[in-house]
Amino acid sequence: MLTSDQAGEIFDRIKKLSTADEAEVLFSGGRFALTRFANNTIHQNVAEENHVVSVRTVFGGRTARASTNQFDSDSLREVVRAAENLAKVQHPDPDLLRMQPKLPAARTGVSAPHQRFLPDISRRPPALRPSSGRRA
Amino acid sequence: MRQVAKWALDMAARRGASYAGARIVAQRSRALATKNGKVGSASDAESVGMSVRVIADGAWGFAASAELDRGSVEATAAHAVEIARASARVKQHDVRLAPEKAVVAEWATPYRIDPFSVSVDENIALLLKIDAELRSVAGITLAETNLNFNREEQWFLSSEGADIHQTKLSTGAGYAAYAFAGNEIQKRSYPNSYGGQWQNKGYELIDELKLVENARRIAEEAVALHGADQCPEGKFDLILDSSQLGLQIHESIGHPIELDRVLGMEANFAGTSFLTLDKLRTLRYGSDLVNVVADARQEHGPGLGTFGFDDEGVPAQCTPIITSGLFTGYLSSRETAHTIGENRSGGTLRAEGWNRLPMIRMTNISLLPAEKPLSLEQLIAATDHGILMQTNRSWSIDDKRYNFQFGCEIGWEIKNGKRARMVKNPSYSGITTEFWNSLDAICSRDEWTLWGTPNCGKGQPQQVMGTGHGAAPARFRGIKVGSAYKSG
Repeated sequence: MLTSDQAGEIFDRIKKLSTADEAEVLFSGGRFALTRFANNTIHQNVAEENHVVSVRTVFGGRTARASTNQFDSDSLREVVRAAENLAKVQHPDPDLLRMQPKLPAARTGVSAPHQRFLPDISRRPPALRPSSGRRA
Repeated sequence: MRQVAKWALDMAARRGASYAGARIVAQRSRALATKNGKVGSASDAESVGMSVRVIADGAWGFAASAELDRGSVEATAAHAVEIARASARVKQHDVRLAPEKAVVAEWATPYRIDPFSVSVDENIALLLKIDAELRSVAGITLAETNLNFNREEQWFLSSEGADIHQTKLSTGAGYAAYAFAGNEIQKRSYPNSYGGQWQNKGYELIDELKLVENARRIAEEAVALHGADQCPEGKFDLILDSSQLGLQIHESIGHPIELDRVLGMEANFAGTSFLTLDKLRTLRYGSDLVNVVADARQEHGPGLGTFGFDDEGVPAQCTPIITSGLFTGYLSSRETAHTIGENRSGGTLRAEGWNRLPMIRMTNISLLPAEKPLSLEQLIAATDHGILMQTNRSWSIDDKRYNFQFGCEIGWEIKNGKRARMVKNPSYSGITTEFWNSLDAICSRDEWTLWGTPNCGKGQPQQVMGTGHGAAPARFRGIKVGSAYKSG
């Protein structure tokens, strides 16, 4: 799972790569699992782990987004370049609001009384947990 | 990437999987759109990852991850086996796969111009030129245009020895002109509604579509519809243009022949099918003129359902679905082929991306054209009294794919072999088998187009897939027309 520190480090790298007036990075993803039953049997039982960064850049009221799920240097450079190229062909939006100043991160999640209903999808043995090594 | 797949296959085997297939997919997409002279949206996306689909203890397991380092890949494969073993605890019977010869192959969409090599500036300039042409017609109040490009590179390796590298490229483009007047909206789209025309081609498709050249005519038709009479109600001979017929095929033939629907495996999302197994080779689906195939081969054309191999390594095939009116085939997979007495999959299993389980999807489901030359104008000339309908506006079909109603953007009343008048808000309804049995004429190859439907949704989580539908204009006798939209 992507940690807050890792997300912060990715954001810093994107900020350095960007030449835009403003840049915003939206992180989404996590672990997902689904089981479907039909004809009294499981016909689909799947799990997925994925994280996506969506980069929004702004040049004088012109804004656009690009996204990737790869966080190596080349992929981050490419996603910033794409977001900037797309922003530059936009027409300026006079109603576009400036990005928010730095605020303490708000945390959301499942309230304590509901925690017991969550599936335990982190139950994998430690030996099977993903390492943080390089991608092939 | 092959090494990544091998890590997954080795781990699945070590954990006891009797079958494993690993797919590594790299997708890139670009979507550009304009709205009334401004760039409406512009986005680029890239997604890379791998999935492992295994059989262990006779049941399926599936896991996917965007992490491609060895530890993550092996963990994902082990997780897939763990999931399969959990599924096996409530299985009714073991999964049985139809045999398939494992192949080592390379396949790529043929194209002339890589759409990603064309600058965003050039693309936006084209869209804004179309936009200006549409809005130069008085009465047009909204103009929308779009360009879309997708590239998907996939490596598929299986424990049976398959090793397939496949690259698919698709291009889509279209626009719509809206005219608001009083309390009514009229709309015309080109070359088709809901995103235009899409094919597995490069940027050369954009030139072929003659987008700018048709913009003024389309805008003028949208405005003229406000002055047109309401489509009459009653039973008429109905001529459908090839794009509307493409959607009619999609909804009333393509979906009901999906064998997972027939077997009840997709019942909770968009229903099942009226085509129960007893109807194979016994049901008169249509008239003698109706010949429909599911053809994923390149020689069928550059459809969105064209590929070299499906997502379990089965080569592209042509399956006769309706043969001289008789229902002769379903869309099948290696798991489902035996349920219809086949010893080989029809090769239709596809996934939206690396992180989705492949499922039975339409390939190119096409109505074959007539062999005897017949143009649309000749078909109109041979019709005493009827309605010609063009370009889909709305669709509705029940969860057995049997009762349907479609609305189109524009209609023409035909009298004595001539287009007598334009009519607005045309619609028709029917019952699938009655409708296809009423077909009495199809135009020939010159009028045949392989349309792309880029937005076919199925499954949970929903997967959006591109499908192809070849059709030439055709005539249907005695169809209920004109009850969907009321004026005033």
